[in-house]
Formats: sequence, C-alpha cells, structure tokens
Amino acid sequence: MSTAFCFDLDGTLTARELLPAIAAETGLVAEIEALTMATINGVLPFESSFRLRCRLLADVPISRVHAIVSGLPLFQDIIAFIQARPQSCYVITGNLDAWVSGLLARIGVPFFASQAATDGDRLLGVTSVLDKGAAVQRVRADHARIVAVGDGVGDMAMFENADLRIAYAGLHPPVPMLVASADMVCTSQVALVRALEALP
Amino acid sequence: MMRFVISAAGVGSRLGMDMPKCLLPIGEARLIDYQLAVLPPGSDVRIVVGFREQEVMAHVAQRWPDVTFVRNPAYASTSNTHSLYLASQNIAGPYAAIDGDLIIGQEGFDRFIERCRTSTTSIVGVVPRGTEEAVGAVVADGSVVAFARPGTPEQADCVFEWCGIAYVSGVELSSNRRFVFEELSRHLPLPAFEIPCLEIDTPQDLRRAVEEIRLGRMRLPALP
Repeated sequence: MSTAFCFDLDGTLTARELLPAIAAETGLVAEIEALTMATINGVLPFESSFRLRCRLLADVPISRVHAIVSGLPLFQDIIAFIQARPQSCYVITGNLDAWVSGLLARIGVPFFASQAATDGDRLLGVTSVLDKGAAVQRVRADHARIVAVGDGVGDMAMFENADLRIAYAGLHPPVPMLVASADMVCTSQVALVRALEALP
Repeated sequence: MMRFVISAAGVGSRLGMDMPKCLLPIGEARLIDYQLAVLPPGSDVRIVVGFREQEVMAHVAQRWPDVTFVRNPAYASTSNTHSLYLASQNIAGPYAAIDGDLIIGQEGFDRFIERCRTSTTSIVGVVPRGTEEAVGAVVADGSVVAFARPGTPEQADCVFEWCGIAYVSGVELSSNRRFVFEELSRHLPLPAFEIPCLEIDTPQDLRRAVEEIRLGRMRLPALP
C-alpha cells in the first residue's frame, strides 16, 4: 500500500510563521501577528485573514520575501524525513506559491499552494486560496493511504480527507479543534518522525 | 529502537479521585512520570489518552516532549484493549504494552527489556499473585500456559498473576476483546517474565504502594 504524507508548511515545517517574518520588513509586525494569531485560533476565517495579510505585505518585493523565507529556521528532522521519501511526501500550504516556491523547490518536495498574480518582482494580489481538502484528494489519486500533519484551523480540511491525522505542536500547540479530530498528537519533531517511521 | 505503548485513557473510577490515574501524585511527580522514567532513553513511546486528555498531554509534554499521544475518544465506553488496538494499528513490528496504573521497579524492568531485545515471541509480564481479583497466570517451565479468571479455583491455585506488562510480537490485536490477556491467551504458551510492579486500582493499593516506596521495597526510577 502506498502512503502519502501531507504536511502543512507554516509552523509544521518552518519553526517560525512566514507572514510575521515577512511583516518584519514592513513595520506592520504587530498587525500581522494579531491577524495570524486570530487565524490560528480560529477567530478569523483563514481565507479573509490571509487575503488581508497578503494585501498588507504586498509592497515587499517578491525577491525580498524569498530571501526572508530562505532564512527561516526549519524542523530539520522532518525535512530529512521528507527528503528521504521524495515520491510520497507533499506540502499542502495556504501560503502563496509566489512566496514559498523557492523554499519548497530547495527542499525538493511537490506542493500545493494558494495562487497569486505577480508582475515581475511585485505581488498584485491573491487569485485563489488553496482548498486543502481538494489538494489531499488530488494526492489520493496516486496513493492508497493519506497521512496528514498540521497544526492550525486551516488544516481541518486536510484532516477531513486523510486516513491518519497527526496534530503537531512544533511552534505552538495545535488548535483544540484539530486535536479533537486527530488520531495522534506529537509535541516535538523527534516524536513526529518516530511516529511516521513506525507506520506499517 | 524499542517501542512502548502506555494505556492511560481510562477514568480509574475505583480509585475515587477525580483525576486520570496516570496523574496521581507519587513521590516528587506523577505516576506517568515514573512510568516514563523507567523506559530506556530514546525509545518510541506512545501514551493512549482519553479521560481529561488535555491535562494529561499538557503535563507529559512539559517533561517528555518526545512522547506521542494516541487519542481514544471512546475511552468511556471501551476497554484498554481498544486503547492498545488504536496504538498498535500505527506501529509496524513489536512493542511493549504497559498498563497506565503501574508503579514499576527499574532493575526488574531493565532485565525485561534485555529479554525483549532478543525475543522472537511475545512475553507475558507476571508478579507473584497478590489478590483474588487479579488475573492468574499458570506458569510451567518458565512459560505462561493459561490465564485464570478472578474468582475461579484455577486462579486460587496460581503462584503468579498477569501484571499488565507484555512484549507484543507477532500478535495482531482486535478491538473487540475486553482484556489484553484474552488477546494474549490465544497465543499461549508464551514466556513468562517476573517484573516487580505495583498496580494502583484502589485507595488501598495506593496506600500500599506509598508504604512500599517509603520502606524502600519498591524503588522509584530516577526522574530526568
């Protein structure tokens, strides 16, 4: 049976949330942080919050965002797990392809992301926000079993379409809603990789 | 790497304390801390949680971040066999199963682990029979050849009882059996291994355990 491992990106592979890191360039740190936390905690719907945050960060040149994203700390044990299984790991992120494609290409993992319109080094706007559930269904076409790993409300759609759900507390505790629908909860990358490697 | 599953989802109603049994204050910490301390460092450890899972996870994660929690949302209507089943479904290969209500002696447990490392079969943990309520283990030539239910003449004749610890190898659990020993009984005979441990089911058990620890007859493992 082939298994696909679907990972969230922000706070699951990166040990820092992306948008607050980009916000450090703009003088809008507190505003983006507040919106990010409100989204993580399910106070604001992901899509409207994400569009708003992207609007606030649109003035940062895309090349600068790539540099920032490249410098983010990563959960290296999980990255190593992914790189050892290039045929069966996927990143499913609500973040923008224009911002995260460089990082994910370097990791060498196929991904599904939200789409943005760009003009050279400028971000024009979000054109579509990823439906994580639909992304998992596309992965399922090639795999018999789906293992989903995430930490936020945005990962619920991924969980609803997965066979095994792991809530991961890497950067912050997973939201209670996600924990309540999880099969397993891991509070460190060591635990997560052990759990993934032990699967039949 | 050794793998362990601790079943700690239950309510522990016979103890009459409004808390998960695994969070019972013992020594300088909680029962679950001493269970985790007895395991070899670097092991793959799963704790099955249910009753007040958030409290259990929050407590354990502080000191033991590398533990994985397995959720049993149906803890109130299922037995610890179901908890073990849930964990075992996501583990390829053998593991040691441990009831979440045991205080375990370090030295005896270390010997058990050494035995597990070279074993190709399951191993049944036993202790000298203490009460009539326990599940008896009929041991012959170092192997458990039968289990004896509480209240039966066979149980009264047993020298040993099933202690709630087993090395599970080549045994596929089903979720519909009530007790782990019933699952193991289908694979007998299996090697028996004596592991010093105390089960905490009732307030009397707890008082006895505290006394055994005070007298130095049960030595708690060192906490990290």
